[in-house]
Amino acid sequence: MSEIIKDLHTAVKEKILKQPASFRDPSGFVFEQNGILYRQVNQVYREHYDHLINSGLYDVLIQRGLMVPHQEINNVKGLNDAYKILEPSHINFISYPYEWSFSQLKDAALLTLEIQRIALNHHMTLKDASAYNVQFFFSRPIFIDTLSFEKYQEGQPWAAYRQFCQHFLAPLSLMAQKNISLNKLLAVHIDGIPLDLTSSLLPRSTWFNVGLALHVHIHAKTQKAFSSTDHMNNDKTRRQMPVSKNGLIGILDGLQKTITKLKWKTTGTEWGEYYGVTNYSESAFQHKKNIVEKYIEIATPRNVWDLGGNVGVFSRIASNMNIPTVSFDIDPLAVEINYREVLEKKEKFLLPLLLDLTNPSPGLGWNCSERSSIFQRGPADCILALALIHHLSISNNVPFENLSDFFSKICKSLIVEFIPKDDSQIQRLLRSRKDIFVDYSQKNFEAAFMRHFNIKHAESISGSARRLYLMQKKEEISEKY
Amino acid sequence: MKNIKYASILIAFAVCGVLLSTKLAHAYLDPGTGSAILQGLIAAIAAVGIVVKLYWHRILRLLGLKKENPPSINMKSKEDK
Repeated sequence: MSEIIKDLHTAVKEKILKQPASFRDPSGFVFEQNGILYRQVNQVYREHYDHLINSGLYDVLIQRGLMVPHQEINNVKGLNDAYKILEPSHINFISYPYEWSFSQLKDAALLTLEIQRIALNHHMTLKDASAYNVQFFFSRPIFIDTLSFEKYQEGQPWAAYRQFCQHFLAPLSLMAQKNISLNKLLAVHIDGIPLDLTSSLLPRSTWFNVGLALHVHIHAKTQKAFSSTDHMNNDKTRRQMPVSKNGLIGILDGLQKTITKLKWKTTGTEWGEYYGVTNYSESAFQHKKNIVEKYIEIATPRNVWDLGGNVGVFSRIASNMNIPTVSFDIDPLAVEINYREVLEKKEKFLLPLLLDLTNPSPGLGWNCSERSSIFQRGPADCILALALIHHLSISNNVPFENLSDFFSKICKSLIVEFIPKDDSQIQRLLRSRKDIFVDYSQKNFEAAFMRHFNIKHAESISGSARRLYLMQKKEEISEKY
Repeated sequence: MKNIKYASILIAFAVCGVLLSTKLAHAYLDPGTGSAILQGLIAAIAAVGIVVKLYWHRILRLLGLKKENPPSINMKSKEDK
């Protein structure tokens, strides 16, 4: 029986579910068994894994909180060819670089460079530098791919240099120098933004930035020059020129300086004075906070997603109760401010992320399953949808029934705010367009949501016509999905 | 024009020289020929820079531009602190 067939039998027998994103690197793979995530280290990686542990590199990375810790597990078999089975610490929510704000991507880039630098000190090197190897663990970026290290041979170039530039430098430079929303190109180009595309989009003035000129513009031209020449494809010319260790450290220094200097220049809005204009009083605002807190206490969720979370004022009600909370918003500036506050206050349970609810992150990559859709990463125990429904319903013309269907797929309990049509915020949305929303009423909202949810509590916010609901998803619907 | 011609020939020689003195990599990720060659060129310049930085005080003393003893260079990485 071939090894592949044997593996298939074992996988079925032992209920081993290989993760769809874990197939490129022959060193091992990630799998799920009985709801627990494991990483198999294959025999072929044995020498490198042993060096990672014995050289002290693993300990240094763990002590400094740069890499996710793991335990070696003996009572899980894994598939044929297993050398070790590791159980890494659990990451609450898997996020992707196209969902990160500028500083989140920048921190992930600097983390990767720092790890490469430490690895070199232990005679190892990162064999890949994918942004997907970084996740947010207790709200800080952390490296998750334990099998990314290989023994370093003096003279070898950094195999991951091109990938690092495509995954980090390209999007960061485009975000800083061109347009903050260009990180979305990462969702189109799964292996990072091609450097020729980046070079063509960046302003000409970036040629005067030594780092960007070398690592993006000239890099793109070098790639083109050597890929288009036929004789470069034979074995001899595919050999690489030697790169001394000092030279490699110099490249890392250069990349670090280039990235550190990249700043997002915002126009108009002042940091720290950013919160969506509210049309109700301070006491009403406080009352709203109190109701949300009460509902969260009733729902006792294990995790919370705050959709349209802005700078995270309401998300923090949940995260301050030590509930792992993801605060999604469409506005890159709001997410950036939120993340900076997380860092400043050393918060551990809040993860701000970018998400356009009218076009949420889909399944991407090979087989559309390398990167999970937002639905595949749910459902959340509890969702906050505050001052959100009218944006989706009126600005994006989504009927209440569709909204109800959507929420029933991604949460078990829902804290939702309904804003009546005569509210000034809605009148502002309708100012420039015809009011075609004859069905927009509290009665229709409740009817539509009661198709999937039971209304457990409903309360009006004092001094306003707004209403807050705590809804629980109906069981029969949960079975349907 | 003559200078540009000489510069082009020099660069061509440098690239050829570098290509002939090579090591073969065995990465699962294709580093890309152009990326590897660029690294070699940047690394060569950067290595010179690092050596100059390390021996800066000694160079200054050799040139007679500095007389006092150089401060000790801490070669330890952050992790060892």
